[in-house]
Amino acid sequence: MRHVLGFVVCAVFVAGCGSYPAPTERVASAEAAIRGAQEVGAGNVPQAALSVKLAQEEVQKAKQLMQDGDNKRAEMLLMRAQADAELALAQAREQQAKAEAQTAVDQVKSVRGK
Amino acid sequence: MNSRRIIGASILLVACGSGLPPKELSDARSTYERAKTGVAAQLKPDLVHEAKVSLDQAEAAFSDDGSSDRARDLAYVANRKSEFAIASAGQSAAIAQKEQAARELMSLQAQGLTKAQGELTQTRQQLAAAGEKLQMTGEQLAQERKARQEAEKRARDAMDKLAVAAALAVKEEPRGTVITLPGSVLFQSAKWDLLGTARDKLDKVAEALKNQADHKIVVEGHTDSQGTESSNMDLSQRRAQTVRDYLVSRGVANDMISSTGVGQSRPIADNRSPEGRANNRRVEIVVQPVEKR
Repeated sequence: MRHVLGFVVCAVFVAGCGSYPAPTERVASAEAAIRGAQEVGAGNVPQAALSVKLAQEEVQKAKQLMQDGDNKRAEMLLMRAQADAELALAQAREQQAKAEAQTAVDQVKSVRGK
Repeated sequence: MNSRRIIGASILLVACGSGLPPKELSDARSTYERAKTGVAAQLKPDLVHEAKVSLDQAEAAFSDDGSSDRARDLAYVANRKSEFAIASAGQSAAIAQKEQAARELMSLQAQGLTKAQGELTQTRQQLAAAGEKLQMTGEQLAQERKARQEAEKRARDAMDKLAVAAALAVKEEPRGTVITLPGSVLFQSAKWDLLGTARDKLDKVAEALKNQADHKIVVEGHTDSQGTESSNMDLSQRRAQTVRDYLVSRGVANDMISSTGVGQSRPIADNRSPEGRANNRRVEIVVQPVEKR
């Protein structure tokens, strides 16, 4: 009886230590954010393209860590990836908005110039 | 003095507890500083606030465990959140600039339209004025034409009356209206003084001719073929001159009327019979319209 109880306590302790939950949702979320950035044309804006690349590398690294059983560190890397992908989207949109604004300003100038 | 000591002590404490901040954290701090002091603070305060929360977490992790992976990861994320706020604010500013430009463009186009409309209105007014002028000119022309027609009618009427009143031959010929006065009515044979009966007739003629404004009047003397040609020429000239002078004395405009003698050169009847010769002895008054310029 004492042995059994000791075994159970030990098993719970080991599970609690070793089994930090795998951050699969964060992987999905980060990958969705990367796709989102690519869809708005982040690849054509150098800064945004760099951010996308960082995010992709971080996701890859996180997946490797998950395979190695370091879910906790993987989760933090996925947070980095998420932040990088979201930044890439914002950078791409900023660049597009600036280009459109420039076009509009040029149009005003050309009408003024007539 | 006292407060300086406390600051000094706390710096020492931080340095002792955590060591130097990792690069991720110092980046996050400076980027957040940029977000807080730039346009992001006005345009995207919520995102700047999120960045601040994220930075606070990183600072807390750093003061708890020093330069741990966790502290560095949190600082990295905080740095990205500040950059995200800055980029989003940049996008908003660009959109605002674009909208401002679009409004300006619309107002410029509206101004252009207004200007074009103004010019159109002006052109229309000018056209209308020109049209009125044309109409006026047209009316003046019509009036002049009417006046002319009336004058011509008066002239014709006068001639018709003359024909009836004086029983004189009035004919329309290519050279003009020709009034023929028989020589026997006007003069004694071989003389050029007017007979009393002539004056009556010539008064009526003068009356009619006074209405022929804008006409050139030529008095022509004609004789029969008796006598010499030169004496006939001389006689016809003198008779024409007498008639002309008389008509002028009765009110026909001096500068409108002239006289000429053609002698026996233009007979209208056979000179071999006495009737023919009587017809050839005559004075013709030719009334020609003067082309008005």
